[in-house]
Amino acid sequence: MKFFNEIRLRTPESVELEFPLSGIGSRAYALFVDYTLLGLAIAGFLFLWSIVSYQMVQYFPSAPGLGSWLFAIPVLLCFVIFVGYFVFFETLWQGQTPGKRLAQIRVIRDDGRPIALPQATLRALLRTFDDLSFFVVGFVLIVVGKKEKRLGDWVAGTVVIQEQRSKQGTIQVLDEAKAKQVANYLLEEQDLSSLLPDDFAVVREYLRRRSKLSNRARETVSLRLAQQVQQRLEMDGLPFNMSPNSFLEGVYLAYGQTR
Amino acid sequence: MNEPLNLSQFTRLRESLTIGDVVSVAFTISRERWKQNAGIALQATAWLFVPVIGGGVLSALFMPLSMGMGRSAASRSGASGIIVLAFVVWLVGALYCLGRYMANSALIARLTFNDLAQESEPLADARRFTQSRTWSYLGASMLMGLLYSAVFIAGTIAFSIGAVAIALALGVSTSSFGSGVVNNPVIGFFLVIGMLLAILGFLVGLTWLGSRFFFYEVPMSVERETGAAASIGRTWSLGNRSNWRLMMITTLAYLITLPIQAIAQVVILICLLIPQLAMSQNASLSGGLMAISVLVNLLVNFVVVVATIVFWQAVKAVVYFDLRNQAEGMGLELRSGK
Repeated sequence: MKFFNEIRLRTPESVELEFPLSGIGSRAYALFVDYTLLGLAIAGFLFLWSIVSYQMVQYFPSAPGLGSWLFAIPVLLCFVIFVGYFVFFETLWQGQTPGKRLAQIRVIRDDGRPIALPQATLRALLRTFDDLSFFVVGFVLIVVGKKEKRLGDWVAGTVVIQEQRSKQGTIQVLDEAKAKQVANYLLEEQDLSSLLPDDFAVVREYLRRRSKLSNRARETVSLRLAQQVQQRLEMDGLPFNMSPNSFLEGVYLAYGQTR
Repeated sequence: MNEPLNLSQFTRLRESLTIGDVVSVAFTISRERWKQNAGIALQATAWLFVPVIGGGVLSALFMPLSMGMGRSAASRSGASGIIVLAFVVWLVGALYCLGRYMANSALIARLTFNDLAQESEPLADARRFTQSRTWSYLGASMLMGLLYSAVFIAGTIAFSIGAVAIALALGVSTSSFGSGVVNNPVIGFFLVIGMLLAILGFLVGLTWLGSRFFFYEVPMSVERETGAAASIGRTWSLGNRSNWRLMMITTLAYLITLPIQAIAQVVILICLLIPQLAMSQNASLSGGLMAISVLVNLLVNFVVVVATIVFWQAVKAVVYFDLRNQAEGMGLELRSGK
């Protein structure tokens, strides 16, 4: 089963690039954040407008058609805020809005280039259909299509992709002296070539993520990994006393030196 | 059954599911496994109908008995004894059916977890596992009920004390109604704001609590050694560092179901309008068309219920899978074979 959709794009230079698509969940997340912000902005605007129009009516009680204007202008301005929000941010931040930033997704053109004013405007205007239909049109189009495009994406020629994420967390060696001792032993006495790059990647992954693990999980995982690495290296036992964490740190240091 | 994932899919699934990804993955699995999981959800809901039908049959049987109770005290107490006994039997049966409903729902979560962890288990085995825990699911849900009631009572008491304290601090007494403090617009304004904030806080708190426990039956549906109470405990500790994540995921999962609800409502509306139109043309059609529209209405609602179960169970399983990856380092092991 494929859990995420991917898209293969051809740039103007005929280079093929593969991008992971954002997925319906991230789209909904971004939309939720953006609409919350927009709602607050529009509520603030209407509050100010109500104060202004109250004053206007006080000062010009007999102005002809004042009521209609006081009603028509905010309706128009609300629409401008609604469209302007998306156009402004997607142009300024190259395909991202505050919601999309939080959801770690981005709009790009069909050929992989960043979007500009025309694309952002088309996408924002077509929200009238995609979003104001109780989100039914946008939802169905995103869910049904392989490229996850809503009406605005089809018209503007854009796709929404998952941002490439940098891996979080750096590796900290907790007990450097011990780890170096282990590394030296491994380099001198053991054949590290039986440890595959994939195996090493798992060790590195553990060291990077261990601070986020619960204490009990850290113990079990480090012990399990240490035993598995020992098996891979066909070690009978440990030459001196060390914790599983020190052993894994040593493996990490030693493997780094073999390359 | 499960073909291996390519590297980018595997990495994204194991290492860095975003809040949106959790919902996307649950949605994808619900769609890919629709036939299987909708069938299970259908069975689950069918179990809910059993006590209703059983209750109807029982009351039809015992109605004459209670109506025509004998005149003598002995026969009267005999008849009421039978009725009480029948009620107890019905209650136990109803609880069992509820348990079977939960066991079937939990089966969807177990299968989803297997899909995510790339473990293949025959459907029959998975079903046997969850079915054997029917009474435990019931126990777990009762524990959750107790827990929620306790929180609710504590919350109500805290809120009341807070309200009284504020009132006292403002110098409100029963004699001051209609005068002074209560009519002061500034205090009134802040009271209204305070009330709104309290309501908002209550809603956030409710979402927080609900999202912290919302997959409470999944650990016991996956882990062989985890029982009902332990399952709730594990749910709590797994989510310890993911409060915000869990709240957003449940909110998003709920929001995603809204367009589906909207589509269902439109279908129902059309099915109501067509008979209306047809009736205005030709009155003799009305009966049959009305029946059809009621039937379609029922059918659509049923599909929505089934889809909701399928999707929510998938969300629970993905959340559980993701938390186990993040908090417990599940999957951090050397892959077997060289």
